Amino acid sequence: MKPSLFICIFISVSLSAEMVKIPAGNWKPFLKDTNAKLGETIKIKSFYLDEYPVTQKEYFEFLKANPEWRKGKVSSLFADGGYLGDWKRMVPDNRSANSPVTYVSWFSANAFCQWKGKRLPLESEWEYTASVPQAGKSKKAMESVILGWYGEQKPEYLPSVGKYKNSHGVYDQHGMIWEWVFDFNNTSVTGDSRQDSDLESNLFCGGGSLKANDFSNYASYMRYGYRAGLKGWYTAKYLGFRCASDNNIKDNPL
Amino acid sequence: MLTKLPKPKTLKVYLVFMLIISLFPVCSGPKTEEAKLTYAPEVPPHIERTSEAKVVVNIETVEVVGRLADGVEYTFWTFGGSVPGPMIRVREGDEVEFHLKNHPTSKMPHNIDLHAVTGPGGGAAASLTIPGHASKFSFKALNPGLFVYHCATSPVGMHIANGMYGLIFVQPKDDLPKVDKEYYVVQSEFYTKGKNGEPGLQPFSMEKAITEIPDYVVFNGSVGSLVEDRAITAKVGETVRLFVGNGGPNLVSSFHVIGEIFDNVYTEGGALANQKNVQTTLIPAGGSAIVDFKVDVPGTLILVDHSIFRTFNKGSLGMLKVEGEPNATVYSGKQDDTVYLPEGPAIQRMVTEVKPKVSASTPKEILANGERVYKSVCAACHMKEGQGVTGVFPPLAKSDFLNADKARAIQILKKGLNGPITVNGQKYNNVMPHLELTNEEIASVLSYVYNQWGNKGIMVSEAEVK
Repeated sequence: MKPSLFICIFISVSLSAEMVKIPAGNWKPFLKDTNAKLGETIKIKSFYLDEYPVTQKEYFEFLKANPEWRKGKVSSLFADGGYLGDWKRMVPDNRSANSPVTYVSWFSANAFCQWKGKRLPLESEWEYTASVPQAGKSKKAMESVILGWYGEQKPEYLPSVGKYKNSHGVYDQHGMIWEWVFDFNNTSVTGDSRQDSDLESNLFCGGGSLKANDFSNYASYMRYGYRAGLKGWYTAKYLGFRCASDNNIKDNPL
Repeated sequence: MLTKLPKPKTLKVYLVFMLIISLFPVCSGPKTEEAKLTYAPEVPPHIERTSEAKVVVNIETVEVVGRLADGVEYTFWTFGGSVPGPMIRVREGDEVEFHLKNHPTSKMPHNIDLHAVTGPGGGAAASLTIPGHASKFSFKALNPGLFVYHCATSPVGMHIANGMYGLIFVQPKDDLPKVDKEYYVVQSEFYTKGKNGEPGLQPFSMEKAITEIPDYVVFNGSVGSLVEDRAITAKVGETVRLFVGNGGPNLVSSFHVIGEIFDNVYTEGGALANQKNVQTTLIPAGGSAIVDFKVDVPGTLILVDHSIFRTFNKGSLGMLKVEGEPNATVYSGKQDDTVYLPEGPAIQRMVTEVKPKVSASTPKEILANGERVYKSVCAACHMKEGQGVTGVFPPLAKSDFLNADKARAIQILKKGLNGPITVNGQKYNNVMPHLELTNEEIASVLSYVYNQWGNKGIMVSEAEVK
């Protein structure tokens, strides 16, 4: 490791990873599944969610404390060959120290959250929080942020976190990356996944419109579609995560 | 009876032969080959074998920024980096092993629904692939015909609208008659945030897609992909087969070739030539047609969606250039006649959506605005280099008619033109519609034209247009 890089990471501005209290409420899932009828709302208990997606710098701290998750060390059962694929060395590039960490698997994200004394958010918790638009703005404005992201030029480096904020004060659930959730395969797997021949019927063609609560919410289809394609050991360029918790866990500033 | 042992020399040959044979462990099973994929307008070569085979198809999904029209860029989601995706050709009865690879730089998950597949989702559910991964599935090409493929990841419409479609031809066992030339053409439409002609990187508009009002209707992925030096070609006397698809996502196509009659149409891309002597064939969204015709005389044939405003205002115009000796019996000197004009003989008013982005003041800005107006309004008929189409659309390049009278040129742009004129010695008798351009647009586009292609290099001011 080059000492200069190492220092850069430490002197770069630190965003202390605060958690935001998400109030309890009712939420209408985008897709009907086996547990919820179409149009039915689900009660979400109050919980805490990270203000920002986990950054590359934070993830590097995790690797220092947990060397078994380092690039090149991790078992192929827990992360595919793309793991930390945009890190040229054992450390993140200084230009993206405050960018979300991506190319991480569900297993590694889960380990990170456990190391912090937290957990990955449930899909319902994540979606419930993400369905809240920016302060003073409509859901349509939120949708245009999502669709805008789909169509924009790909940046060389992911931007630093803190770009888009919803009215709960949670940043960057839209417009930057996809995020792992604890039960990412909830939508596509019903019952025994080994025997379920109609595995992904929720998400294709007719299924999409028969089982969705809001046909106009095209942007949401994509997240459910994305999750349906995942396996726990997969990693991808635009796939990161953040943690949740039932209690407010204060982080020591890095 | 014991088999007589071969002599030593024969034995050596025998062993070498057996060694070669052993390198082909499945010589009893079907032959395996990799499909040769081609990019529009090229069609994969005719399959000559008469037995079934296992065919491996490799396609990668990539998200790329590309040209939608001159000055207009778009983030295309593609199969194989192009719109339409590569054309696949297999033979009826083949076993197809499909590998779908999603490039690691993609943002989106993608899959493929091939209408040639008999099975749930046409392969979609089996091929959902997140970026940086690859999926594999197999199917038997049971039904011959020309089939669309497309991405069917939710939201399906958006993946199609962004360019994810192409054609797979399942060549019938009972083969189609041979032709001299085969081409691959796919119509589709694009919905952009900005209006037709608005420059820059244009984001997708979900609102326009839902209301089915596209800004662009194109062949092979962009405005002008099949014109001039990119036109498809044939020689007089050759037979031409077009494999035409419609990616949609919304519009049906009234596919027509101006100046030709389809000798055979395989309606809706089926394996049966069920109609002869057809002018325009309807191609549903997510459907196809195969058309055959012999070209008898030289000239430029124009491929259009005969829902004609799309063609002249939104881009669905292609060209088939035919070279060879004229045949006066088939087509005599009637080139004074109008070829085909859906607007009728009277001058029509045509509202154009093109507005100069900024008010131009310097000659450079005026010419730049003029170029943009020209490319979005005039180039469809008068061609990119102002060369026109002989006998149909008069040339603007080195045009004696244009250079002779500036005031007349202004009037033509203001009011349109109807009736016979002679340009560079060639007679034209046609209708130029009234385009409803603003005075500023007229001044800038005329200045542009006067400063191009060997014209006399004068400027036209807005005051002169008034």
